[in-house]
Amino acid sequence: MQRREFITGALAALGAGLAPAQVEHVWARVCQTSHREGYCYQFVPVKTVTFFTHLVEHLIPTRDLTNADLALARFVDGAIEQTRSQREKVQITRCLEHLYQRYNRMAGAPDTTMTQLIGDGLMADDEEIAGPLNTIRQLAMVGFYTSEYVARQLLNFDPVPGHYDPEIKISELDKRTTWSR
Amino acid sequence: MQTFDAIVIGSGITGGWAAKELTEAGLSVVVLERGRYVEHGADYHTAYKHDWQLPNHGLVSNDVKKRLYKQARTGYATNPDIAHWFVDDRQHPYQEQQRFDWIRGYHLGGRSLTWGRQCLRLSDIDFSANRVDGNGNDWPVRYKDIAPWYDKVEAFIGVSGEMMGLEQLPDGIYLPPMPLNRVERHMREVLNRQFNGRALTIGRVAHLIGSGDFGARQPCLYRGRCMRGCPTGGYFSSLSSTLPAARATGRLTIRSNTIASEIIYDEQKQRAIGVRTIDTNNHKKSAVYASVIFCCASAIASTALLLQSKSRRFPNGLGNDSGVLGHYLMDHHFKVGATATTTKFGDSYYQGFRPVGFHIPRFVNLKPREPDSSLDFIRGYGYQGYATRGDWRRGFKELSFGKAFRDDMLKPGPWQVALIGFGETLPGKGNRIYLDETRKDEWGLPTVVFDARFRENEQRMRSHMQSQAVEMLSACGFDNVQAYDEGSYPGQAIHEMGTARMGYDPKTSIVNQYNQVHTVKNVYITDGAFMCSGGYQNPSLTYMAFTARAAAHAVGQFKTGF
Ligand SMILES: Cc1cc2nc3c(=O)[nH]c(=O)nc-3n(C[C@H](O)[C@H](O)[C@H](O)COP(=O)(O)OP(=O)(O)OC[C@H]3O[C@@H](n4cnc5c(N)ncnc54)[C@H](O)[C@@H]3O)c2cc1C
Ligand code: SF4
Repeated sequence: MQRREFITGALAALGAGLAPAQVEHVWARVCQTSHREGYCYQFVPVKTVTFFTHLVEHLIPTRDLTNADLALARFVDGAIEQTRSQREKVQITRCLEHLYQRYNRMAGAPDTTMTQLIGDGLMADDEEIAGPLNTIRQLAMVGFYTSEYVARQLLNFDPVPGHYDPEIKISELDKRTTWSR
Repeated sequence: MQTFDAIVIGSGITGGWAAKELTEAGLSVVVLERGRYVEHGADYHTAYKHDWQLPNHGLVSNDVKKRLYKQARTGYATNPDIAHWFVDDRQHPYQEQQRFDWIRGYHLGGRSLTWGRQCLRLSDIDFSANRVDGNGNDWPVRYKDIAPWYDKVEAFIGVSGEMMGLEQLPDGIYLPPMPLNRVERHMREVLNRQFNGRALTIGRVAHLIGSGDFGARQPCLYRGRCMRGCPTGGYFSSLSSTLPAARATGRLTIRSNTIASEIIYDEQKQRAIGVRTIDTNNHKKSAVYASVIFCCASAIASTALLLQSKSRRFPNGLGNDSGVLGHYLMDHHFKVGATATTTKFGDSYYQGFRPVGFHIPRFVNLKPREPDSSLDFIRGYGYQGYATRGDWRRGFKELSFGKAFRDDMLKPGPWQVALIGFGETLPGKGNRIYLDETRKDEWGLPTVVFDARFRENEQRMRSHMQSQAVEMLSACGFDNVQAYDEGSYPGQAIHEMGTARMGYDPKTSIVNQYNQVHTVKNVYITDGAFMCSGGYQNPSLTYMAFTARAAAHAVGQFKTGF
C-alpha cells in the first residue's frame, strides 16, 4: 500500500477519479485505530474531507485569485502528516471531528456558518479546539505565503537583490507588499 | 607509512587557516576531517531553492526533529534548508550532567559554512580582565601581540564594517560597511544624543562588500541565504577561502570521513609523531605521521582528543600535567534583552536581504581597574539587534483569518526592533567537560560529558542587559517595549571555548603564548580551546588570528627543530 497523508490521502483518492457520490468513505487517513505496514489507517468519511477543504478555504481563501491552484488543503494536510507528532495528529483529528459535528448542527448558509465556526473555535476556552485549529490556520498561512503563486504574483519577488538599499518608500513601490525571495 | 610535514585536525574556521598558512610556508599538509567531503558551490544543494521547492515549504519534519533532538533546541538547525549542516545527535551522542547545547557541523568546512560571520576583535580590556579581577589565569598575550594577525586575517577573509575608534572594540581592516536602515539610524542618533558613551553600528561581518578584486569570490548579493552555503563565496568560509588557497600550493591533502582518535606520543623523542585515525565509513583504523600537529577540531573535540590520547607519560591526557585539561569551559550567555515595535517611519522600507543586523558595543565596566560601583557584576556585554518590517509571519500571533486578514499580511507590517545581549562568562574551574569511558560512540570512542552552568555574575549581568535594553528602546520612542529573558544555556551561543587554556605556567595551563602544548612542543591547539577568557565578542576572528600566528611560529620551529 502506498503511504498516504492524513486527510490528503482521501483527497488524492477523490482526485484519482472516485466520484464522491459513489463513495462514502475513503481509505487513507492516518490515525491510531488500526495498524498496517507501519502506518495507521482508517476509512475517512468523504464528508469530513470535503469539510476540511472548506475549512481551509475559509481560513485563507484562494478561490478569488485568478489562476491560483494552490491546493492549500492538500498542503496543510501533508504538513500535518509530516511535521506533527502522533499526539498532535490525534488532537487535530479530534478537533476536526468536533468542528464537523458542530458545523452540521449549525443552521445557516455554509459560508457564514463556517466563518462563525472558525471564529468561535479560535477564541474557544477549550484548548483542545483552539490549539489545533490555530495550528491548521498557521499551516494554511505557511502554505499560502510561501507558495510560488503568492511569491511571484502578490509579493515583491526579489530572489537576487544584488544590493541593499537602506531606504526606499513603500508608497513608490509598484506592489506595496513585502519582499519575497 | 604516510608521512606529511604537518597534520591539521579539522577543516573548519581554524583548520582552514592552519592549512593555508602551513602549506603557503612550504609544508606538506594533510587535513583530517571526520565529516563528509563537500564541494564548494556544487554541494550547497539548497542554496538556490525557493520556499515552495523545499519539503513542506521549509517546515521541520517530525523525523528530523527526532534525529536532531539537541540541535533542534536552536530553533533553526533542523530547518530543511540547512539541517544537513548539523550533526545527527543519535549518531554523535554526548552527555549532559547539566544542559549544554553542543551545536556541531561535521563536514568539510565545519561550522564556517553556517556561522553568523560576526568578526569582532578582543581588546586589552579583555586580555587583561583575568589579571585585573582574578578570575581565570592571565593571558600571556596582549592586544599588541595579536593585532597584526587580526589585520592579516581580516585582509584575507574580507570583513565589512565601520571604524568606530573604540578602545573596547578595536577597529580593523574593513571593507565598506553595510548601511543602516531608517529606524537603525534613528536609534543611532538617540544613543549618541542621550546615552553618553554608547554607540550603534552595523555588524562587522565576513562578507565581501564593495567593488574590489576578490579573486574567485564575488561580492555579497544580499540574498540572505548564507547558512545554506554561498556558491559565489560572498562570505568567508574555509571552502570559499582558506582551503582553496591551501590547495593552490599543491601541498594540501584532504582526508574526509576520517576521525582523529588519538595523538601518538613518542616517549623517546618526547614529542608527538602522528595521529591515529578511524575511517567513518568502514571503521578501519590507520595512522598518519608528521612533524607538526595542529588541533583545530573545535574546542570540545580537540580537548576530547587530548583526553583520549593517553600514554605512560601522560596518563591523564596529552599535555595534561596540570590537570586543567577539560576545565574552564566558557560560552557567551544571551537570549536576553528587549523588543519593541514602532509605527513611526511607516512609509520607509528597504530592499535586499541584508545578512546582518546592528551592533551596540560594550559600554559597561570599561575601566575594570576602577569598577563602576553602581553595577553588581564584573566584565561586560554588548548587543546584536535588528530593525525590520514585519512580514506575513506576524499573523501567526493573531487569531485572524479570512480574505481581509490574508491581504493585510501581504503588506509590510510595523517595524519590529530587537536587542539581543551577548554577555561574558567568567572562566571557572567548575565549568568543565570530561570523558565517559563507559559510554562509547559508534567508533568505540568515549563520549563527552558536559558539566557547566552560568553562575551569579552572569545572572546579575542579565538583569542589567534587560533593563538597559528597555531604557534604550524606550528612549527611541518605540511602542510595546518589552523586556525578555528566555534563559540561556551554555553552548547555545555556539561560542564554546576554553578547556585547554593558554598561560605562562605549565602547572596551570595547557598551551603557551604560541598555542604550543607546553610539554609536547610540536602540538598546537588553535581552536577555541586555548581561550583564557571570552570577552563578549564573537570569538572566531580571534581563533583565526591566533591560528595564523601559531602557524608562523610552527613554521619557524619546523625549520629549526622542535
Ligand atoms: C549558527 C552559528 C552561528 C555562529 N555565528 C558566529 C559568529 O557570528 N561569529 C563567530 O565568531 N562565531 C560564530 N559561530 C561559531 C563559529 O562557527 C565557531 O567558533 C567556529 O566555527 C570554530 O571554528 P573551529 O575551526 O574551531 O571549529 P569548526 O568550524 O566547528 O570546525 C571543526 C571541524 O573539525 C572536525 N572534527 C571534529 N572532531 C574531529 C576529529 N576528532 N577528527 C577529525 N575532524 C574532526 C569537524 O567535523 C569540523 O569540520 C557560529 C556558529 C554557528 C553554528
Ligand atoms: S547574502 Fe551574500 S553571502 Fe549570504 S548567501 Fe547571499 S550572496 Fe552569499
